[in-house]
Amino acid sequence: MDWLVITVIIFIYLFFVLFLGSFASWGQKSSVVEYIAASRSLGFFVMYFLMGGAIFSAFAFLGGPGWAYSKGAAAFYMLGFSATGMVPWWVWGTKTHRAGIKFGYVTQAQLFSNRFQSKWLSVIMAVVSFLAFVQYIGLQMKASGYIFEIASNGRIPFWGGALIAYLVVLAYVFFSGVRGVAWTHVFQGMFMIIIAWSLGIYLVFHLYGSPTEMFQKILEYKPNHLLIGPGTKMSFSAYSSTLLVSVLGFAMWPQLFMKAFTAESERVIKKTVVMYPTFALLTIPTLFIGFAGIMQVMPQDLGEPDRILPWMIMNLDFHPIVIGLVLAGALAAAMSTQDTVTHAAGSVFAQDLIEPLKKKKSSDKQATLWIRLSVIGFGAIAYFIAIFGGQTIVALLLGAYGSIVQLLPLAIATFFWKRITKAGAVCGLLAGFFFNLFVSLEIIPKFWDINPGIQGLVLNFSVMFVVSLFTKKLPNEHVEKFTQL
Amino acid sequence: MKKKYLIFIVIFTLITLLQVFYWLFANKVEPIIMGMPFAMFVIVSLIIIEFISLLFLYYIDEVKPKGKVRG
Repeated sequence: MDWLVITVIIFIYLFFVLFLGSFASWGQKSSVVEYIAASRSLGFFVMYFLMGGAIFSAFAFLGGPGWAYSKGAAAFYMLGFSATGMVPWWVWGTKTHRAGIKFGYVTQAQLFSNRFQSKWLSVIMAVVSFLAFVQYIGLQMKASGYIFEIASNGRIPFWGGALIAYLVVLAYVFFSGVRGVAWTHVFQGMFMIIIAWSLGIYLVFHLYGSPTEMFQKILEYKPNHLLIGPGTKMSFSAYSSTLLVSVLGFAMWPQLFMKAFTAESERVIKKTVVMYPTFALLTIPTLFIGFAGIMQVMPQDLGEPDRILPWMIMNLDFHPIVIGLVLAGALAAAMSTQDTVTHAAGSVFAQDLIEPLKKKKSSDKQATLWIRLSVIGFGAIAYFIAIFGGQTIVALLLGAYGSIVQLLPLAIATFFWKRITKAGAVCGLLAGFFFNLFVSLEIIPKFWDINPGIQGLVLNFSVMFVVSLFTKKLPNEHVEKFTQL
Repeated sequence: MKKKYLIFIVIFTLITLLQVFYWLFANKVEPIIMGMPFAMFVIVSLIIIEFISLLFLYYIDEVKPKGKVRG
């Protein structure tokens, strides 16, 4: 009957999140600005967890221990990118916030397409974002499926578990928009941190006596596991380029970038950036969980490395209540990213793809309805792709980062590079995106062991620069509205 | 204003490059410091340095010459 206790705890958690998320926008006026940007009213405390929830995802909770277990020191890259990834937002976030107030934007593509006077740029960005979102959310859905499968001892199938968690997410995103996402993140964030630290510290001390003894034993057992480079699981160039693409791409994700529109002031954005490295420190125990598993289970017995955390708690004689809480924590990590991505995908699809292509502008009420319908549509598509996809969790995420980092030249050009033209911006984005896509699909070969996102970025900048030299400049007066923000 | 941005860019670039190329100077397991392999300890230390730098940047950004605070 242990499985029943574990499953009941997970369902209690789900009901609480559903309740909290669905009623978060109670009493608020229904409008596009409220649904997408919480009427530009979120303070520091909520913003910190809203942004933190995006990083403290299934990637950190299941993928992190999985990497520590299977690839060793390569997992340190997670600490690096989660600490530094948000820093560029000090620049992008504050300028975007100002642009939002001045011009009424609520999405990233509205800002870029207006700056370059191209509705097609908005459409292209919406498609690029949409494809990356599907890859990214697939990772989180797979995690939800694993959790339910393990908790119920196989009684709830993989597809069923992913569906249950996602329906809860869809419900509160549909009703409450970003305000629902924000308040569930506050709860989920605190819950995940408590679970990750308690479990990480307990496992290390219980199994090895101390972290030092654990690492000394790993050093004797697998001398190269805590190193990178030749003879290890990751080359130097792969480590550096993967970290770099993650750092540069992190703040470019539309679901994070557009949160600059939700902050009540620039000060809130800056405080969030300042405090963000603390989230990186909070992921340390998740890596310890993976390292602690190295001498507990053989890779061939475990199956996919991402299952190491659930394996550890299911096989080390924990009380069912503890197992239920840990699995609920892992589910919180997966859901806290699913909701942000789903909300952003719905907003991007309706505002950046549908709206520019419509002949007649929608009323605020119609536009809000379009966003809600897009949330449901995206949910259905993403679910089917994720369940029938075959890649492992981290591979999915890295492919997505390669696409999203292609938005970086647009951000730089929007605020700092007057000479970039409409044609330059569009051609650069397309060149970088397709290069990354073709390398990921193995249509063209990868150069050395460098992340294709970085290679695409170099191509993107080059094409943008060269095409801009030979095409018509945008009026200075228009460009300065953005470069002087 | 420009000086402030320059400080910001230099600090951030330096910390990022140290994180990206940590293997050039810290790709070692021993000594194990504070329960972490040397490489992990270096990365965590860089995060703490980054956090302190950002706090400092926030402070100089918030305090205007006349002591007023930006909203």
